[in-house]
Amino acid sequence: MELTLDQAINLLRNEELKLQDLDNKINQTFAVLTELRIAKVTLEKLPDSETETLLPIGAGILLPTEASNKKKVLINVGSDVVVEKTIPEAIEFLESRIKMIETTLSEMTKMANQTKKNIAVLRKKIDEALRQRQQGPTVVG
Amino acid sequence: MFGFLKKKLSELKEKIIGKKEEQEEVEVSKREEIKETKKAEKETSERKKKQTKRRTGKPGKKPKKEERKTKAKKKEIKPESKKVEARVEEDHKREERKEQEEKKPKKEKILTKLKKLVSKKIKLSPEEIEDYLWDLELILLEADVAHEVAEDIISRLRDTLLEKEFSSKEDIFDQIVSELRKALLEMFPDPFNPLEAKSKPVVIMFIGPNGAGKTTTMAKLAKQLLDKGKSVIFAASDTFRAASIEQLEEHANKLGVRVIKHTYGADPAAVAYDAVQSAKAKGIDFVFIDTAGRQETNKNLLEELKKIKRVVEPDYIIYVDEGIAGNVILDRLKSFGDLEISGIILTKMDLDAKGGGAITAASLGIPILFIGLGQDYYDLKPFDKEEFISALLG
Ligand SMILES: Nc1nc2c(ncn2[C@@H]2O[C@H](COP(=O)(O)OP(=O)(O)O)[C@@H](O)[C@H]2O)c(=O)[nH]1
Ligand SMILES: [Mg+2]
Repeated sequence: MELTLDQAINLLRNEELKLQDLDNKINQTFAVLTELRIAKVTLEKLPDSETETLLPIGAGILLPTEASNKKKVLINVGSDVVVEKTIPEAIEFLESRIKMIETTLSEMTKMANQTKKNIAVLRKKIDEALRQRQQGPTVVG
Repeated sequence: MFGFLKKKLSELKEKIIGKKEEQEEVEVSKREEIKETKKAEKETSERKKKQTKRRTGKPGKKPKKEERKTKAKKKEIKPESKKVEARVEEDHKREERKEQEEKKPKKEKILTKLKKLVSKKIKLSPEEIEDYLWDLELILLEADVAHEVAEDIISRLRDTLLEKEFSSKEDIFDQIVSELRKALLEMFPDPFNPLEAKSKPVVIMFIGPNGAGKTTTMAKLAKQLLDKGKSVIFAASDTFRAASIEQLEEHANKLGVRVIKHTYGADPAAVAYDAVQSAKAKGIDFVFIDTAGRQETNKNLLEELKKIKRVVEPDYIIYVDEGIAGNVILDRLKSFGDLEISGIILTKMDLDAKGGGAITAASLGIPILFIGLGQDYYDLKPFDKEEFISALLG
């Protein structure tokens, strides 16, 4: 199918907006993923017996406290509903969340890459069309 | 992928180029009044002292933000117009000098020539080099390279840079980057191909933390082998993790690969042994052993893995970890260290923007063999260090 120059330009704008939107979402999702990973590593690294430990509470802040992997943790599962879990259970919970988010992120990244390719193709077509326009027809690829 | 380092390096470039211009300004005044120069020198040395002081309180990771901030401010304070003025002034001076040169005795002429020659080649003082190296180290840390690895890279650069001469400010930056490139290239050991049949069966044991992508990576590698007409069998030696056997079976069913399994809680070494025996009996080319990632205490896990190793004597032990894990990889790798890892596979590189995980993983001298670039079977490709470093540094 052939595109007119106007159509190609509109399409390009659309793709560029889509990419911007995707990039924003990817960044947000990645931030969530990072948070989950920090929580997971922290739990994994808890000592076997009560020792003074630095617990990251987010935003790079570390809280000195006594902790061990024998303790239970409370997980806010949403709407301030809190459930109690053992550390291994909590790690498993985090892992399943991480898996979910990674899948989303992976799909979004693929979409973003495809969009980038589309944009490159459209830009090239538009460039060519503009160059040809000086000579004659305004039909794009 | 990997926009991070490039962006940070371009910031460093700006700094280097900006800073050298600052120095030129000092040079201009040198010609005018020696007094002024001395003052300026004093100032710079004082500034440097302050900088070194600040540096001695070497931070973990966090204070670098502050450092950046102060630097950004410095940039703001120095107005663009000043640079321009300095240049115009310099032009002016050159004109004047020319005129004077025509009249004045030879002695001065030679001096100017000499000066010109000297200013053509820039040599950095140790302090300046330390300053740039410190910036570079922060960049590496921010890119999630482990601290000791970043320090190692920096110390490789230090000596070479001290001896170098530079033709321009851009050249300083270019050479720093090219030395960094060289250091990284040297750091990454050359990979081998574990999928080449060197015995029958080739037994490969996959180890690494939970969620790293061991099971998925095994399936991806199996796919590559099947495509080439080779046969593969899986050993479900992660008998610890809930649903791990089912996950492996799901892949196996999709691929048409046989799985040797026992029940949960069974001896992982026994499962691996059975798989190898079965492969020998049936003439299967490859045995892939899936293992557990974490247990109540990692000590148990390590003992368990060592037992599998003793029992089946694998051809390769491949450590699988996530590229996005960054500097954490070093600790993890070391915790599996007793096992004599033959190669590394880094997964989730499609989600990685920083590359620090790969640099960290390479630091122990174990080659990176493949990288995972997604969740589909074909999202795995051989690791190419040159391609990786080019993507990283531009
Ligand atoms: N985006 C992405 N995800 C991956 C990659 N490799 C594995 N994964 C995902 O990581 C998660 C954990 O993988 P799994 O094989 O179960 O890890 P294991 O616990 O080490 O066996 C799964 O959701 C995989 O789909 C990769 O290269 N890229
Ligand atoms: Mg697994």
